[in-house]
Amino acid sequence: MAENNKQTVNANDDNVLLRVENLSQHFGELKAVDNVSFDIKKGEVFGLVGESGCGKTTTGRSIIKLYNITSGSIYFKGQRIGAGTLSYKNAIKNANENFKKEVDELKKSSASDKSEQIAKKKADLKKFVAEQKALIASAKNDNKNVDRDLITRIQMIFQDPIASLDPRMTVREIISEGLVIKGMKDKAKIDEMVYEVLETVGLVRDHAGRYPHEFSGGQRQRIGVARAVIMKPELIIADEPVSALDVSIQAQVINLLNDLRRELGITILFVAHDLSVVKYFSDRIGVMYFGKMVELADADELFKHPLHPYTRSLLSAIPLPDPDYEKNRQRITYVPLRDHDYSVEQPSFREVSPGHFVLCSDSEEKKYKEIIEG
Amino acid sequence: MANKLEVRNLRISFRTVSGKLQAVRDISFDLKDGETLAIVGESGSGKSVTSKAILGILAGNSIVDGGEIIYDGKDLLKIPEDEFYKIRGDKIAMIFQDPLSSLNPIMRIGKQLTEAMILKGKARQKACRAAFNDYLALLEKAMIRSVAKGDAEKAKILSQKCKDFDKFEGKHLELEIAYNSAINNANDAISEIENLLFLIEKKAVKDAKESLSIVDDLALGALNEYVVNEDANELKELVATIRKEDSKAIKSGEFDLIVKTLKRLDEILKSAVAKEMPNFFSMGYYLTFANEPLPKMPMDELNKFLRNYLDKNYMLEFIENVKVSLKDSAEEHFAIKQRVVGEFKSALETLKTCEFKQPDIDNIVNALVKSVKGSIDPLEITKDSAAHTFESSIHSAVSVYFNGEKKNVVEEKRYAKQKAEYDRKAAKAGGELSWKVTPAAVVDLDLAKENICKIISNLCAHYEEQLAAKDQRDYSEEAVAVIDFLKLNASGFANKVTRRMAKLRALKLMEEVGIPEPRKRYRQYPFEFSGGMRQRIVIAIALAANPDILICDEPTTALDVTIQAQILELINKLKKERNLSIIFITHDLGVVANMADKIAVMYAGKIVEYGTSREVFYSPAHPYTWALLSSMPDLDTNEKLEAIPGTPPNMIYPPVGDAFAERNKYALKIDFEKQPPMFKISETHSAATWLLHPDAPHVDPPKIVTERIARSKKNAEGGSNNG
Repeated sequence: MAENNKQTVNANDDNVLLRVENLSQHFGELKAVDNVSFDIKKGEVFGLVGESGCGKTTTGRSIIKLYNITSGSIYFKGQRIGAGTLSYKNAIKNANENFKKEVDELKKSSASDKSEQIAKKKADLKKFVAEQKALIASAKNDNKNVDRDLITRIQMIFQDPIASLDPRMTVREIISEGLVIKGMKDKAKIDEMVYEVLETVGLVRDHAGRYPHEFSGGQRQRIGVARAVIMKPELIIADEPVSALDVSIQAQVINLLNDLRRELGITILFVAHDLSVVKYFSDRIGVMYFGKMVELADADELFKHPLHPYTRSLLSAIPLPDPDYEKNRQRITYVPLRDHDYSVEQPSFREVSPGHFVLCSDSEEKKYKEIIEG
Repeated sequence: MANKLEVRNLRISFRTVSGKLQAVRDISFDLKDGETLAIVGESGSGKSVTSKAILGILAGNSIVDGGEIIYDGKDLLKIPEDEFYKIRGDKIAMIFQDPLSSLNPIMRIGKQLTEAMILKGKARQKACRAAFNDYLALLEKAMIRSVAKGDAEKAKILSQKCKDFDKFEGKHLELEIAYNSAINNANDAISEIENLLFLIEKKAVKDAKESLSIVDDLALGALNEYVVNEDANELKELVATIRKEDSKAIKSGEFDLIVKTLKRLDEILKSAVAKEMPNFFSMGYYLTFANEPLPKMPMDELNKFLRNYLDKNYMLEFIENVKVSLKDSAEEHFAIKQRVVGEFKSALETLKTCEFKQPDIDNIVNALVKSVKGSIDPLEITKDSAAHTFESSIHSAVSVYFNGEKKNVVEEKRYAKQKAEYDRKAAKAGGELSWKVTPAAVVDLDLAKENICKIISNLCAHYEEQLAAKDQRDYSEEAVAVIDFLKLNASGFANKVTRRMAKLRALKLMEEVGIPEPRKRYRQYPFEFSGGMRQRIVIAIALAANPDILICDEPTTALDVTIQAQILELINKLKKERNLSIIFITHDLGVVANMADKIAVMYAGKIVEYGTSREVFYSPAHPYTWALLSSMPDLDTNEKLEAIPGTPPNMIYPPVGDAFAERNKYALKIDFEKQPPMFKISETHSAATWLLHPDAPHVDPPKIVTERIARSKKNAEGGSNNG
């Protein structure tokens, strides 16, 4: 499994800002995110779509270390900032069980060098367990000793502009809180930075002394953006930044994010469920379904050749402001039991054409390749 | 199509700490039978306030400044609260935006679904019984008067006939309800079997187990004299086989026997469903009065026989009698109407000339109201809304005049006093002061007077129209409609709601709105549901009372794309099945495209554009509609989005001119000075913008909009080629 899932982007590694490898996030029984891998390149907007509860928000929150991840690794600028241990623990468990089974078989058999073989196997097991334990230790170490400065280069914008701003803090306090926590003490300099960032996001200096309730929804979201931008981030995780806003205000915020990306060169992980917005805004899009990444491709490619049946059902559900088209729109439904036959072969995440990954089995891969060529 | 709901010149404001906030400013629209009207606008544009006014759930600090909302001959703004109980939820239901906050977190879903059903069921039963009895009594009286004409013997026969009707109608319903539940069970069983066979084939044993326990219940539910009759014993055997074998099969994975049984069961049920439905109405009569068992013959012949029997022995004569009495009553009331028209005309004359003094006017108005009440034909089934709302509307118009008179005096006094003070201080300071005197808010008495006259002349014209068309009335058709009306009310009475029935209906509703495993879900709490499922529950609750009008207040805003599409499809499907009229409120034009027949775009409490869905999307006329269309990206948008700058105006101080002028880059000078009227573009399409004035400069919509329209036109042409 692990080899299959390792996704290799044929790009210079310097170019990759964030690499997520086999990320799993389990909450008890619930596998919110299950074995997800992707890279985000410098300066791009990576869109993450899927229905609610599919784990896209959890992925974003795991990256920014709001959760301790269960398994897998997250690399930011080449450094491991998050690691989980479950996969190693499972490996040890499996090895132990295998060992027991093999030993039992050996004991029953009539081979002459039984005891020698058992001893050899025991040594192998011991070595393997030691290796895994070292990995666990290193993961724990990485998790614990993260470079704090590096982590502040990732910032987050939250969905609900009302709930995510403390009503008892002024805009100045909200925006500068990150700087203060980081240890900045020079008030004049902090104010300077706050004013600068307010202007960047299209607010004015006077707003710094006000409270959040004095602003409209669009302006509040701008404050949320300012709070993220002031930390000079290289990666912004935007978790549904526009879905709580009115249509006319949505456009203001999208335009703002677009400007920031162009002027400051910020990379953005854009989590949303509105496909029209994601398509408009993103360079590459990953589609998630029930904790698994099912398809990943360039935005245009994904909309031109949606391969996975879930992606197709998602695309067919987009409402457009066009009554004639809407009258004839046929929505495709996705029923995993009907659309896949995984009783024989398990699916894995494969590159079907350059840069276009799909979760599929062998036979499906063949079919998808034909679709792209034909 | 008839108008289900009419909103006329509605104006609503709210008292707030900082002043009077004008939320809705003079809007009018119609909702036709089976039509979807979408109201689109930003938050704060007054769309939710409008819907809440229709449902009578405005907040406590609201003031209805004027207008009327007419539903079923009543003005919803003026009826008392206890009358509203019969309408709210029962006739007009609402789906709220946030499913989480509109469900009670500490009540199980099942209880929330059935609560209203049981409460309302009792009330409705009473109401239907009353309507049925009252109407039958009215009819009896009318028949005795116009058919028997004093002949006591004949009168007695007619009374007996009416009692007979009541009696066999009861039998009819008993038969039909049993039949309906059986046929529904059969249909459900068929689809469940199909599903089950699929599951078994796919070896999804866990799901199959659940499905099996449902199938046998459903199949047994299909047992009915007119559904599964000859094969009843075989069906029972088959179900017994399934019950015996299912756990064994699930353990071993050998489903051959079960599959065979299911297939045979499927055959039986399918043939049962395909059978012709008996005519229960006539059968009810036969079984009640014929004193013989049903003759044995094929169903179509039996239906013919029963129909003939009913017609010959009862119905033809009854309908004839109804027709005669309807005609009599109508003609009598036409005569009254003729007289009332005369009264109207003389009243209008006096109103024009006389001095407006409260007691005189009250006398005139009360006399008119009395005669209008007398002119309403009690036997008409569809209520004449103009006549029924006359009383409330004329009284409110009169009170506007006289209250205004009093207020004006106070207001002018205040203004004079403040103005004097201002002038004194200004003279002292030498020049203008930093504050201003608020001008006197004077009620336009001439306009109020005109309104009173207009209400009278409107009804007058309406009556004259009716009188002119009196020869075209088809009384035999109306007599048949009367029979249907009685049937409908009787069925409303017979549909008793017990706890068990409410549960079954709730389960059925849950299935109808697409909730899997309703039996399990029935006992769960709202927090155990996902967002989409919660919204389905809310829809199911709204539909439980079988309403005429469904108001959807942003039902999908909190949901994601796939769920949104499902919910929209669900609403569309239910609309078709139940012939619902829907008011769909949203800020997202994309959602509206496949839902709406008509669209009203609202901004700052006014409707700025009103037209059919195609007109608004393909030839939008108002700059605000352009802005809405251009601020949302679609799949082919690459250019920078045209965001609408700024925010909506503060409605405590509504702007003098067009409210959108300040954010509008196409605004003309006059937009800031004077409010544009509704310019008519076509019969159904109108917009309030000065750009449509003949003297206005020609302005094209933004490029992003025109391009999108061109693109969709091209798609529509090329659609057949591309699939």
